[in-house]
Amino acid sequence: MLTNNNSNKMFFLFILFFSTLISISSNSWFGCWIGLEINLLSFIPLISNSKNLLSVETSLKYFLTQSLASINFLFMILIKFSLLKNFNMNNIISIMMNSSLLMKMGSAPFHFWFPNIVEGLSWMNNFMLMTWQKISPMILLSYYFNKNFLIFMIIMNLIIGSLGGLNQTSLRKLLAFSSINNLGWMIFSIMISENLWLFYFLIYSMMIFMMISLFFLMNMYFMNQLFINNMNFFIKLNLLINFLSLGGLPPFMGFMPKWIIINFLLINKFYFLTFIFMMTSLIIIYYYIRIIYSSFMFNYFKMKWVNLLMKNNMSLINLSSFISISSMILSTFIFM
Amino acid sequence: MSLLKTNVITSVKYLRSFSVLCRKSNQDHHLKKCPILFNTQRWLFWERHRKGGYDTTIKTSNWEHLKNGLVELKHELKLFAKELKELYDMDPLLIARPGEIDLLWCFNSPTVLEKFVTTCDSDHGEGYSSCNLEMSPAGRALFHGYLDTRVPKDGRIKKAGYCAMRSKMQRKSFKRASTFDWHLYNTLVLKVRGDGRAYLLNISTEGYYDITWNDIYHYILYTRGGPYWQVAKIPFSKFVLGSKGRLQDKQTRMRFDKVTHFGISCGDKIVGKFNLEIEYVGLEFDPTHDEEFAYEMYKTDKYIVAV
Repeated sequence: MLTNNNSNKMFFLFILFFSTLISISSNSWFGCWIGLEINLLSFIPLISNSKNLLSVETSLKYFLTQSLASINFLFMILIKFSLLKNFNMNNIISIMMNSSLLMKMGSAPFHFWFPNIVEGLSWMNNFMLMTWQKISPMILLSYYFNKNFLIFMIIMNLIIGSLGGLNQTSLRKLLAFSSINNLGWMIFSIMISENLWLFYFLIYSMMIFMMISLFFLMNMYFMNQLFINNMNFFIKLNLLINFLSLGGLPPFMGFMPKWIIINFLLINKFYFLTFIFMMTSLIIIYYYIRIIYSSFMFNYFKMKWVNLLMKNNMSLINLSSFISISSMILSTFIFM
Repeated sequence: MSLLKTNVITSVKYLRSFSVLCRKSNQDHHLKKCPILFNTQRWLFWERHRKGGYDTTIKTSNWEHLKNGLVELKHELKLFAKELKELYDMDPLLIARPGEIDLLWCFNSPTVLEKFVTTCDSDHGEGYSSCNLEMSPAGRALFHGYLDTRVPKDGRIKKAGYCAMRSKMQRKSFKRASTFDWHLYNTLVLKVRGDGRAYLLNISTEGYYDITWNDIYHYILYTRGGPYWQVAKIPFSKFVLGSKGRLQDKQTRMRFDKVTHFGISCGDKIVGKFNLEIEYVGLEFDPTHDEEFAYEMYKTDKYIVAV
């Protein structure tokens, strides 16, 4: 794409949405694969921006990893059709199919490309990568998963997502590791019920949207920018609320889906898994609080000529803070 | 044509370095005897060698490799322990305060000089310049030598005359290649004492793919001769992209997160001695500098490709 046309973007976005619908509504595994391929095909023009060497490298890396996963998926589908005559859920072919879908999503242990690529994309592209690109692999995962394998993957996701984000200075990589951690929660919610997964996914997308729109408006990509910019108090407060909501702290919005999942876990006596879910959430919240604490307390310099005028855009920030705080309470009114 | 005796290289590689369409000339015997470089022409599809074909490996036997490895093992284990401790501390450098210069290399002892490598055109028989990096009488690094633009008379190259010093590749423990991370900074600071010549500062950002292996960002540093030191603060936005010495049509901003090498070279076509004394090379964050890239890209006609 030589020019940065909105019409080009609209075209590819339309195909992107359509491809996910193809993938999840097909009645054959082959149709699913077709949807995944079209997804890749239409996402690449959105992220490749030839003005910048870093983004060219990033889009090529994305293409290579995703096409490798697609090839794997297609091959496993064909092996399944030709060799297996049963519909057993727990066997080795399902492990291979799940692995290829996990690689598509950026889940551990196939996550090594994910922070790398997220580092090279702009915020809006990151939003697409972290939310929309996860829909079709996850729904395909729900069609044919291997329970024991997935539980092991969930544990790896949680641990890697929490420990990987500890030593990061780039906001994008931080959100990437947080995304990997949340993937663990989402994969488990798939195993419980698809409705629950949809609920978790919608709330997660909303939280990520609020965070990313804040960072996008302030053009912040690294943590030093949190301290340098002369942010007014309400922006910092919004940052606090959104980060804690993403970490799953009550009474913010992000606690709601995690609460339901923990409920299911305890009812079905998955005690060890509950322990890991809790501990890794704590590590993530520790890291978020460290960032927010620094941005509130440290007052490195207030430069007069860098004045972050957010007067026109304050409504979005206020709205997102309001939603994050009050949605738990407001949701109880829905079911009255 | 007189044959030139060049450096003794034990392995002689035979190569036709002229166009495929040329007829076989009777000067073949001359080319075969001359120790020729491996593959330094421009490949169409991909770069085969990271170093552009210059064979710089030192041939050692397997037994010597083993002995060297055992000596290095203790040092590498210590480095690894240090890295683990850093991970455990979880305290990365979050901010670079303005006005503070974080030094990359401070040349006040000979041990720092080992982190650099000097190259010149006479290393591979491509010229007659010489260069050296050592401690000066004032206790700082001195990059000096003699630049000679004479071309060796065996028809392989057209121009000669360069000398360069470059930092060695950053290594993590167990010799894993690593990069510099300069995202906190936006200015390069150098304290030098030159001799009035113009030197080229090169920041090399080898990426992941072979297309960008030769991407080097250049900046010409004009030095003042004279006994006084000069502090040069150069923002990264002023660096210009070049590949294999040729400035690219499509200019982009330098990437700060994965910088591989830093180097200084002298190639200003003036025959004679050169001396550059360096006290330190450092980085600074200048919040008042908000230029992203100094060179504009104009909208070109559609028949001009790759821009």
